[in-house]
Amino acid sequence: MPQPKYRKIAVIGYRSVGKSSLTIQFVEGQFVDSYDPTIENTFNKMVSVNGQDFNLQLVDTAGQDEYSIFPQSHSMDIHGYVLVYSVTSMKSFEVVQVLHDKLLDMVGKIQVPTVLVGNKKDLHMERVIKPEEGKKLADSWGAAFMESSAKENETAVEVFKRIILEMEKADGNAPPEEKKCIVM
Amino acid sequence: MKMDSDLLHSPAVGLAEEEEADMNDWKLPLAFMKKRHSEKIEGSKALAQSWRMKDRMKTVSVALVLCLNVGVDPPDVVKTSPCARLECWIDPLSMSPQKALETIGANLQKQYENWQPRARYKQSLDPTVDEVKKLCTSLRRNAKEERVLFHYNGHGVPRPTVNGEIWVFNKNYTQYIPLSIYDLQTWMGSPSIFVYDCSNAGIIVKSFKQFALQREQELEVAAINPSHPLAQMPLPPSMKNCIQLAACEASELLPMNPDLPADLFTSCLTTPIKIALRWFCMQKSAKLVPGVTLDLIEKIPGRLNDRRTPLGELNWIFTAITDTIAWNVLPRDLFQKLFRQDLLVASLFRNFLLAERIMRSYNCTPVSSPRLPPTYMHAMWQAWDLAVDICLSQLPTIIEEGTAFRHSPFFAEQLTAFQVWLTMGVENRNPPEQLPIVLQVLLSQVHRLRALDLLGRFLDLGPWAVSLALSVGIFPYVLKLLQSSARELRPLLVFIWAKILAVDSSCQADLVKDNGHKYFLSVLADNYMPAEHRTMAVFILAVIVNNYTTGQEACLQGNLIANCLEQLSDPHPLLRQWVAICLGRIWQNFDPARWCGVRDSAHEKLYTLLSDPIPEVRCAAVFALGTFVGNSAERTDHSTTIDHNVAMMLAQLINDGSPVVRKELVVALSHLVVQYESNFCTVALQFIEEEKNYSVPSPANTAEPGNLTPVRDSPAIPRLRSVNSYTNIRTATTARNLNKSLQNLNLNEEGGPAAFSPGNLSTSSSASSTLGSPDNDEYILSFETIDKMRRVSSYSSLNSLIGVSFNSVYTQIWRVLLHLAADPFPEVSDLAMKVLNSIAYKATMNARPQRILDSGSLTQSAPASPTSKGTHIHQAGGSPPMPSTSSSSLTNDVPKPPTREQPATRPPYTPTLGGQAPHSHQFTRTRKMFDKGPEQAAEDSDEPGGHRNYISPALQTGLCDWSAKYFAQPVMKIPEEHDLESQVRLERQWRFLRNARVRRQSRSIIQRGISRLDDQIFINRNPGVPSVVKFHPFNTCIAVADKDSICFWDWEKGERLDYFYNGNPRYTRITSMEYLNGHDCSLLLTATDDGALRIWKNFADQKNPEMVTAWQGLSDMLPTTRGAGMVVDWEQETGFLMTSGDVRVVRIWDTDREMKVQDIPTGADSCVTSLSCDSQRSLIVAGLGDGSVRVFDRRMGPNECRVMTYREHGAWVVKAHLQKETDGHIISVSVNGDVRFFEPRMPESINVLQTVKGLTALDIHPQANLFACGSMNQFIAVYNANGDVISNIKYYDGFMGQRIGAISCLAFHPHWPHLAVGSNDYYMSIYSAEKRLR
Repeated sequence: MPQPKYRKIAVIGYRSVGKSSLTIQFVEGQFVDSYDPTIENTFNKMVSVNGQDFNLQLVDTAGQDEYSIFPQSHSMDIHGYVLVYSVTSMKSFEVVQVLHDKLLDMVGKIQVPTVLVGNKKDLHMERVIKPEEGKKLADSWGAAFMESSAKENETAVEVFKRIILEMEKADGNAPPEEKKCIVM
Repeated sequence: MKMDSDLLHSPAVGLAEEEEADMNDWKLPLAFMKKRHSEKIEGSKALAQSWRMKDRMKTVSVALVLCLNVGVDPPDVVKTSPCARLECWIDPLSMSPQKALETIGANLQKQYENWQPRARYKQSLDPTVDEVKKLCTSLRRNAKEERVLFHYNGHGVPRPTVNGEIWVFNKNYTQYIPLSIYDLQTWMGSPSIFVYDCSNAGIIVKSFKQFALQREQELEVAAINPSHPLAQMPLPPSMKNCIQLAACEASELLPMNPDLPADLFTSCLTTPIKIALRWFCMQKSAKLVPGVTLDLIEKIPGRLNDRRTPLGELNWIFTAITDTIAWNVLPRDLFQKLFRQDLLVASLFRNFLLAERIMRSYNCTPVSSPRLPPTYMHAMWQAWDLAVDICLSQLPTIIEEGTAFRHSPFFAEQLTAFQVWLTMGVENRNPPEQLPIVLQVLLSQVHRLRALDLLGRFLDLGPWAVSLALSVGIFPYVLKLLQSSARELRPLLVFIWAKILAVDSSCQADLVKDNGHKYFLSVLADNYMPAEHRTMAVFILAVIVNNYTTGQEACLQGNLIANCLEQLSDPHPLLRQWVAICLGRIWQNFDPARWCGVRDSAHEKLYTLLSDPIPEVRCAAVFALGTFVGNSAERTDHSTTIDHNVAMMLAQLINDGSPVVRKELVVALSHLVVQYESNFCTVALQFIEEEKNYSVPSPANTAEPGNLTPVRDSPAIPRLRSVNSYTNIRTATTARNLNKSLQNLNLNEEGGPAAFSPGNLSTSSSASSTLGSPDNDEYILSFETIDKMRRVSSYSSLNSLIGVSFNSVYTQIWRVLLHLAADPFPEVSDLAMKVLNSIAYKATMNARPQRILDSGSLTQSAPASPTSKGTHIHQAGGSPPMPSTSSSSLTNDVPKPPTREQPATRPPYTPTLGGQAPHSHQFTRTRKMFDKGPEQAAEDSDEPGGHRNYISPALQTGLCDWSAKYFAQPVMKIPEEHDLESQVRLERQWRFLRNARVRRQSRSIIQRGISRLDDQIFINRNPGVPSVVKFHPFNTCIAVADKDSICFWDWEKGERLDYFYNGNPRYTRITSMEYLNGHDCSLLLTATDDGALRIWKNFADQKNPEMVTAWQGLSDMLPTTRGAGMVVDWEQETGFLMTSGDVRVVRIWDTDREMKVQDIPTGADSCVTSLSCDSQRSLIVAGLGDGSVRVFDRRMGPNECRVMTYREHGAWVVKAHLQKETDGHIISVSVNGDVRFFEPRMPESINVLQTVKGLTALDIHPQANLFACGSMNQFIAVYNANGDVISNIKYYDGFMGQRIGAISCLAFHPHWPHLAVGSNDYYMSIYSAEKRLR
C-alpha cells in the first residue's frame, strides 16, 4: 500500500457562498444550514482516489471580498484551491475572479491547481449565474469547473475528488487515462 | 348773633404749607398694607421633588466583553495600512496574541476602575455565546435591582448585523457566532447600561430599541390576556431603563487613523484626559504652544484625583465643563437621570460628550440612547481648550526647569461670570450657565467662601432658583459642608440651608441623619451671630422638628428648648416669631419635649410674647401654646393645671386686633377642646340647654317697638355685587332674596307699612340678612344659635352658671369660642364654628337627648339694636334684657319721631321633623325655617340627618407655612416700591400728583370765597337709606353706607361703582366710616354698632371687594335704647384709630401693631357720639350723648387724662370737631342746634351760635369756613363763618322739584367745597359751591 499523500487544500470565496457547508458536507457528511461566518477552520480527512490514499487537510477560510487583503498564509504550503462562488450571487462570481487574480499574484505562478465551484446549484429559482459562464471562466483560468450543492454529499465529494485530480495532474501524475486499446 | 370769623380759623395757607402737605404724602405711613393683609395666610405650594433621585442607584457589576481575536482581522473590514492599532493603549501585536488579549482586558478593567472602583468586574475575553450568557446572567443575579454595565469591544469580529446580532466566537475560534441582542437583553435584564465599541454600532442601538418595543408589546399582551401563550412564559424583563452608548452611527466605520487608538471610543469614555490632551496636540491649534509633544503630555505631573496637581486640576476642570455643558443642553429630567442618578453612568456620559467632540472630528458620530442633543459645538469647550492651553504652555518649563505650576484661573473666572449674571439676573432670563461650576468649586477650599456667597445670592432669587440649584445637585455638597468647623462659613451655610428648607422641607430627614441639626443648634446658641442668621438657624430647626419625631428627639437632646427660650426676648421680631414656632413644633405631639418645656416653664416665658407688638409674633406664641396644650399624652393633675393656665392666658387674646392672631387662637383652643373633650361636651350641653330655656324677649312676643330701619323697596331688591371668597356675603345675598316673600307676608299681617318715606316704600324692621357662616345646614349650631348663646351667656353668666359643678375654665373657654364664632372676620368665625359644632355634635351624640319640640321662640331674631343718629332717633326699641340706665335720660331730650315701628314678626313655627339625627334638630332648623318660611318646612324631611362632615378640630392655620414663605422669597432684593422705575412707584407718584392737584385747585376755589352752596351736582337713589356718607379725599368717589352695605358712587360721572355687603349681622348697622390711606391705596373702614370694625379693599375699581381685616374694636357695648353706635376717628400720621360709642371708654388702636394701646375712660355714663383728634397735640375731643364735650390728653394716665369737660350743651352732641391747627378750637353742636366754640385752655365756650333745632347731622368743612346742618325737618342749612346762612336747601333740583327727605347724614368733602347729603328717602345728593360743567 503506498504511503498516503499529504495534501493541503484551501477553500476560498466570497462570504456566505457555502465554503464551510461544502467542506463540512465533505468531511462530516452533513449539511449545516445556519450561517456562522468562519474565522478559519481546518479539517482533516483521508480519501482514496484511484487507489491512492490522500491525507487531506482542508482550510476553510473566512469569506473575502474584493478589497480584503489576501492572507499570505493562503499562498504557502497549499497544494490546491477550491474557489467557490454561489450561483445565486453575481457578487460572489465577481469576487471569485478578483480572488483568483490575487491568488495568482500571491503565489507567483500563472497556474495553480484550482477547481472553480458554482455552489448552491439546488437553488434553481434564484440562480443568476449560468453553468456556461462558470465553465467559460474556469476555462480561461485553465481550471476545472463544477457545480455543486452542499446539500448533496455526492457533489461535495466530487468537488474534492476533482481538486485531487487537478493536483495530481499538476504533479505530473496524470490520472491514468482510461486505457483504451489502440490497435495500431 | 355775630361770630368772630377767627373762630372758624380760616386756614390761610401759603404755598409752602401746601407743598409740605404734598411732601407729607410720601412720609405718611400706610395702614394695613403688610403682607399679612394682602396675602392669603397659607404656605406656598410644595415643590415637586424633581431634584431628589428617587431611583438613585449604583452600577455594581461590569461585564467586559472583548472580541479581539488578535492577529485575525474580521472578514468584513478592510483595514488601512498603517491602521489604528492600540487597544486600551496597548499594541496587541507587541506581544503574543493571548498575552495581548489578557493585558488589554486587564487594562480596560483598570480604566473602568478609575470611575467605579467598587464594582464587580468580570472580563470575558474572546468569549463564546455560552460564556457571555453565563457572565451576564450571573452578574444580573448578583446585582439584583442595581445597574449592570456591559462593555463590548467588537474589533475582532464582523460588524453587527441588521438582524440585531453581534458576534462572538465558537469554542475553537473557527467561527464567528452571532449573539442576538434580544438574548443579551434577556440575560442582562434591567437596569443596564451597554457600551458598544465597534463599527456600525448604531445598528445595535436600533435593534435594541426594536426588541425593547417588542418586549413591551409582549408584556402588554400578557397583561391583557393571561391565557395567551406569551403570558405562560416567564415574562421578559422590560428594557425601559436601559442606557446605551455606541461608538458610531449605523452606517459608520470606526476611524483607522494610525495616530489614534483603535478603541478611540473606549479611550474617550474611560481615559478622557489622556485622549483629550493627545487630540488637542494633534489639532492645528496646538501648534501655537511651542514644544509640546505627545511625549511631553505623558509627563504632565500629578495625579488625576489630586486637584492641586496640574493633571488633577485639568481633570477637575474637565469634569466641571462637561457637567456644565450637559446641564445647560439637556432637558432637566434627562440630566437628572444620566448625570445625577449613578456615579459611573454620570462619568461615562460626561466622557461621552468628549467622545462626541473628538470622534465627530473624524466623521464618526457616537450615539446614545437616550439620545442627547448635540454638545460638541458648545461654547464651554473653548474654555476647556483655553485651560488645556494654559496648562500645556507651562509644561516645558515645569519639566525642564522645575518651575512651580501656576493654577488655572478657570474657576475664578467662571465664578466671576456667575457673579455678573447675578447682578443682571432676573427670573425670566436663562438660568446661569455656570451653576454646575459653582457646585464643583464648593469642593475647593480656595474658592469655597466666594462660591457659597454667590450660591446664597442665587438661591435668594426665589424658589425657582432653589429648585434649580437642587437639580444641579448642590444638596450633598452643602450637607457635607455642615461638618466644616470654619466660622466664616456659618452665616453663608445657614442662609443657604434656610433657603433650601423653605422650598423643600423634606430635607429634614437628611439633616438629622447627618447630624446637621447640631450645626444649627450651635449657630442659634452663638450670640455673636447676627440676629438674622440666628433667625434662619431657628427656622431651619423649626423645619427639622416639624412633624418629624426623629428630628424632635434629636433636637430635644441638643437642648433646643432651653436654647430657644433664651432667645424669646430678642429684639429682632422675626427671631422671636420663629423661636416661638420652633418651640410649638418641637413639642407638638411629642411629650418629652413638652415636659422639658414645663420644667423650663416655657409656657410662662411665652406669655410675654402674647402682648408682643408684632402680630406675627403673637400668632407664633399662640401657636406654641396651642401645641403645648394640644399634646395628646396622658394628663396628670399637674399638667391639667398648666393647661388651664395656658388656656386662660390665651383667652385674653379674644379681642386681639389681628384676625391672624385670633384664628391661631381658635386653633389653639381647639387643641384644648380635643384634649378635654368630655368636659367640653358637658359644657356644650349645658349651654344648649341654657339657650333653649332662655327666652329672649324678641320683638315679636314682647311687642316692643323694634328696630326702626326702613327696609329698602322690596320689589327692587338691590342687586348686590357678588363678592367671592366671603361666604357670608354670598349667603347674605341669597338670604335677602328668600326673605322677600317673608317680609311681605309680615307686612301684610301687620297692616301694611307706615307711610313715612316718600314714595310707596314699605318699611320693615329688618333687612333680615343673616350673617351667614358657611352653609349652616351642616351645623348643629347655626350661627344664630351660637350668637344667641354667646349673648345669653354673657348676660346670664352670673346667675345661671353658678350651679355648674365642673371647672369653670371650660365654661370660660367655651364662652371665648362662642365669642369668636361671632367674629367679624369670616375665617375666624368659621373656624370657631367648626370647633363648637364638632363638640356640640359629640355632646348631643353622647347625650342622646330626646327630641325636643321646638317652641318657636327659639327661632326669633336677636333683640333689636339701637338705631343710629343718622336714621331717626326713636325711643327704646328692642332693648336687651338688661335695663339700661342711661337710655331714659337720653331719650327725653330728643324729638320723638313719628311712630313707625314695624316689628318683624315671624309666623310661629313648629318643626315637624322626622327624628333622623341623634341631636336636637332645632338648632339647625331654625335658620332654615327663618330663611324659607314655614311652607318650606316639609323639605326638611328630605334631608337625612346629614351632619356628614364633622371636622374633628385638628385644625390648622397656614401661619407657619406662610411665615416660612418669607425665607423662600428674596430677602436681599430691594422691594419693588423702592425701585423708582417700578409700576408700583409710578402709580404712587401719580396718586400724589393727583392729591397735590386736588389740594391746589380746591384751595384756590375756597380762597375766592364761597357765597353759596346749593348747586346740586349729583343726585341718585341709593340702594339703601344712607346712614353714613364719606367723600374720598382725592378721587371722585363717595362711599355711602346703609345699614349693612356700602355703595360707591362716582359723583363726577354720576355712576354707581360698587355695592357690597359689609357682612355685619342683621341686628347691627354701620354707624361710621373712614377712608384709610386715602392719599395712596385707599381702604375703607366701617364700624358697626356692635363694636366690629371691618376694613375693605378693592372696592369701586372693577375688582371684587375683599376684606383686609376685621376685629372687635369695642367689646361690651352698653345696651342703650338710643346709642351712638360706634364712632371712630382716624389718624393717618400715627396709624392710630380712636374708637368709642356706646361704651365708657375711648379705645385707641394702633393699626401698625393691631393692638389696643390705650383705653381712656370717658368718665360719663353716656355714650360718645363724636370723636375728633389731633395728633400734633395728642388731644382727643369727644362729644357725648349727655351734652358734655370732653377733652383728653392721651399722653397722660387713664385717671388724669381727661383734661377738660364742657357741660354747656343741654342735649346730645351731634358733632364735636377739633381743628387740626396748632391753636385750633373745638367746635361742637348739639341736637338743639347750638354751636359752641371752645378754646381747649379755657373752661368755657368762647362763642355760641344758634342754628336750627332738630339737628340730625352736621359737618364742618375743614378748609373753608363752612358748616352744614341737616335737619329732620327735611332741609339743609349751610352757614359761613359769620353764622350767616348762605344756602338753604329744601327741594331737589328740577321742575316740580320734590321736597328733600329727612336728612340722615351729611358730610363735607375734605378739600372741595362739596357737601354730600343722604336722606331717609334713599336719595343721596351732592351740592357744590359753583356750577360744574356737566
